[in-house]
Amino acid sequence: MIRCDELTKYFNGTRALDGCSFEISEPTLTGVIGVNGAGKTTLFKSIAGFLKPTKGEVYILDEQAFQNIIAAQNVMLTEDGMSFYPTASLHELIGSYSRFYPNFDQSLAIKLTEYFRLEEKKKYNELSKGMKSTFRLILALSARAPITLLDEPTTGMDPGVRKELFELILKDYIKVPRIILISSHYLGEMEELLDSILFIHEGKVLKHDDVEEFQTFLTGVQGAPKLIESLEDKLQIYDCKDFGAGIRRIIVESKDLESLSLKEDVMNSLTFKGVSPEDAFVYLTKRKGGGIDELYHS
Amino acid sequence: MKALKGSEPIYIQIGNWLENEILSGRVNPREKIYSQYKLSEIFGINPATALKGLNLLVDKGIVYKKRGLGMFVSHDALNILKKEHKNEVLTEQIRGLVAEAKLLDVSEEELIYMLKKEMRKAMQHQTKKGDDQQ
Amino acid sequence: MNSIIHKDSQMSVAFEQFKDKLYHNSFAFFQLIALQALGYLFSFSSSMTGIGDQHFMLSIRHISPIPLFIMSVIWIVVQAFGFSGEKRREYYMVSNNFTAYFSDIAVLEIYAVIIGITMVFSGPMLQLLAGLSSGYPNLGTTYDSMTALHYLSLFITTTFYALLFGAGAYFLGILRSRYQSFLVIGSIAFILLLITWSLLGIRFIGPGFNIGTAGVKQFYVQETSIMLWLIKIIGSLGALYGLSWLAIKNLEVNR
Repeated sequence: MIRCDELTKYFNGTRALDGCSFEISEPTLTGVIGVNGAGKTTLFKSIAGFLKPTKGEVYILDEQAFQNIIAAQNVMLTEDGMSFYPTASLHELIGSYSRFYPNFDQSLAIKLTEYFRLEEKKKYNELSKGMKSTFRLILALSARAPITLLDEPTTGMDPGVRKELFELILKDYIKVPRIILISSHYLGEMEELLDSILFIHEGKVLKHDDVEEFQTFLTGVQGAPKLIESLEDKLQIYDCKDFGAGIRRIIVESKDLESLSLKEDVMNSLTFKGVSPEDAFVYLTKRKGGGIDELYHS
Repeated sequence: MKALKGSEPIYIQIGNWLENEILSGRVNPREKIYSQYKLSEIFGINPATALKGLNLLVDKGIVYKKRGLGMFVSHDALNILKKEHKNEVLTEQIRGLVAEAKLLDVSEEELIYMLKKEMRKAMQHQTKKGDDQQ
Repeated sequence: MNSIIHKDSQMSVAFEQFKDKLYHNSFAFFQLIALQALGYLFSFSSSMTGIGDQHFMLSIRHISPIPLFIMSVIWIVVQAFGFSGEKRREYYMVSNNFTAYFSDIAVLEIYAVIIGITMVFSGPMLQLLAGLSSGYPNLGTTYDSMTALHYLSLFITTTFYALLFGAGAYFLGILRSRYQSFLVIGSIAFILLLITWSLLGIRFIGPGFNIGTAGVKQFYVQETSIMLWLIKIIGSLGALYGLSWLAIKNLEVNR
């Protein structure tokens, strides 16, 4: 349903996307994770058909997405900067959207608007930042579009509301399975919701896999400094840290570690720790070099 | 909604939780076990992840799928689980014992002797309990 | 998948947008009424300007409907310019440049027809207002001689002129959206159009043609043959619509 083929997008010389490739054809709740500026929003806008690829292509239902009305009616994108008729009330906006998205569930939208205490008669611009995010999400979920793109859906929301909204996304996904992509630079709060993660870094897809793969991708190896150092040149190191009590810890790829086939006595003198996807994400996007530690010690 | 903690992948935690439900008798052999959607609701997780957890039990033969009806606990489940726990958990504990013994310079014969003594004590305690109950 | 995939045609989406735009811009009609009220006010203070003949306005004594028409044109120009703005296109998620363009033009057609209709009623309206203010001045002969055909031609001419102004404003607005620098592009476009008109004007009217805005007015207003006038108008509209489409075709929506 969605297929990106070496998707590249330049803006005034900046490469927002640089050869992005992936494919999704089954219902899924996929997290699109990346740092600010990694290209997530540009990717979503390209999928929605708003932007024209500089190089490569993005296909929706086997048609090129840009300016395609078939792509447009089956994709719903919600993001911070989207605008609505300034004179329209929330109620009228719900009415408008329901006419354009055939799957739209109006009664759901109204129920949710009431539940989250948004006044239907108010205009969109009269809402606070968090309420705007809530309304956009209500619109996006009610639309029941086969491809739903949520760009940082919880911007500005109170923590309690955030939790509820993620619950809402999960519930609605179970009720009407479809492709839902949620972008965020903070994986922690939505990890449990997801079945897959699309990891974007510097405009490319670094990894697209099941959540479980991300949970076991990296391993923390801890032990005596000399022992750890002897391993370091055989492995790609994502992070290393020296703890006071003569312990050194490095972060490496699990499969690299396995292929080393360490002897049992070596294994027994090392401690292995799992790395959560959230932490893995931090290590994978870290700047090269010593980091804050080095800054303070030099 | 139940909270999940621990650094293990979620589907493994689900698998462990399900095994405990069976071991503790909250779900019995031949009964229907939680569906992926029910688990998704209980824990607030993606149904695909919940399914992965269920499939761990399917792979072990503890749970099986009846087409159109759902997932059921196999009649053999308790045996399989106990055996597995014996192998894994007990082995883990024995390993710990052996390491400790080594540290304290306890010989193999001494260790076996201590083990037998404890087992006899437990047996007597069991029989005494049985006598009292009669 | 439970979420049903739809494959509606562009035209059905364009029609949906057309209805939605009319609905959300309904307050524009109040703006028209307000501007026309102003126009009526100016009508009373204008002096007789006889442009005469059946292709344009009738002026009655010291009351002229021309200011009314000018106000209406201002209205449609502002509306058209608004429709061509980038923000307006952002309001529609299910859209592409074709549906946006098509529905915009369709709405402008409706607006122009409304202007035409209000102009047709301007005569009786003016008589009424004149009567209320200065006790029925002799509007007499000129309005008496207005036949149904006169009213029809009034309707057609005002509608088409309104359309023309609207199309021009829309085109300039699209250019601004595309090139972000109105002054430069607008001026270039204006000069090019002037040149085109002048060339056509010289061809049709002959050596008496003035280059400049007066000449452009002359091009349309001094036409005596109905067929030729229609061709000029529809041709110009076609050109403006075509150019607008070329300018909007590959525009991105980038907030």
